[in-house]
Amino acid sequence: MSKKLPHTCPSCSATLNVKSLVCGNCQTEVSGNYGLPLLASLTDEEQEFITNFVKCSGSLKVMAQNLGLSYPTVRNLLDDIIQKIESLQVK
Amino acid sequence: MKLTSVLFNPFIRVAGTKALLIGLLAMSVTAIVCFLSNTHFDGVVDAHTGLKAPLFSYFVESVIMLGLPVVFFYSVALIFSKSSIRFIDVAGTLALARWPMIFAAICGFGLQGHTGAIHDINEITPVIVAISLVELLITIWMIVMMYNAFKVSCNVKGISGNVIFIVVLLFVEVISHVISNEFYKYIRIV
Repeated sequence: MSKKLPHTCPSCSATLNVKSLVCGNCQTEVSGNYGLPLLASLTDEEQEFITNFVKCSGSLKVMAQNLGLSYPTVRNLLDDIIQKIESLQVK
Repeated sequence: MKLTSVLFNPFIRVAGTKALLIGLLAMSVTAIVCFLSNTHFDGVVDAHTGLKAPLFSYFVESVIMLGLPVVFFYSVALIFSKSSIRFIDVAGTLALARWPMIFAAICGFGLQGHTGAIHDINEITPVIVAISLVELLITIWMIVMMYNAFKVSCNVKGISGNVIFIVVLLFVEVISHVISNEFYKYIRIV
């Protein structure tokens, strides 16, 4: 089961920071107070969309063909993500 | 794709040139069926039966009933949409949204002999009521498709999107009636 990275506090809904990072190889831990990258605040589906978008060299037409969706549907999904990123940047 | 999606919102998967070609093909078939069943689309969202007219007039009606919504929905979307919308998507999806009207044209066969105008309450037969209800459902089906076409191709959402759709639809309905009536003055209707 793949775990989802939480990015908002379940108690007060504020944005969470990273307190510690661990090396999967030697178990070395790094502690601190690191902000989450902006893209980590997006849902898995939105992150997958961005990955596909980059892999398609930013071509919505190619992406629409690969996903079996119409061009405006893909463009609308992209616009929704842009809007969400802009609102996250304002925060 | 789910059946509801196929019937009401195929635009998630089909838009642009492909939708336009399918829509124009469906509209051409509809125009021929209309000619055979004497069914006229004298408004964007309504149909009337009973009067004979030349074949070309049914195609002109189709052009008016597609052209007006495309022009006005596209113009409004240019003002209100935050997306970079394409004309071909608006034209294609709205053309495809008219395909249910082929069933309205077929319904016209059941109303042969009626001119569409009721002068006496005794003229309202159960057949007329039944066919009218079916045509009403078909029209609602088409309006739902037009709404989804507008939503997908123009990306105008929320309450403002709904209000814009209703206002533009009512506006093009009135304009299409005016243009149709002007057009009918120049053709021979029996």
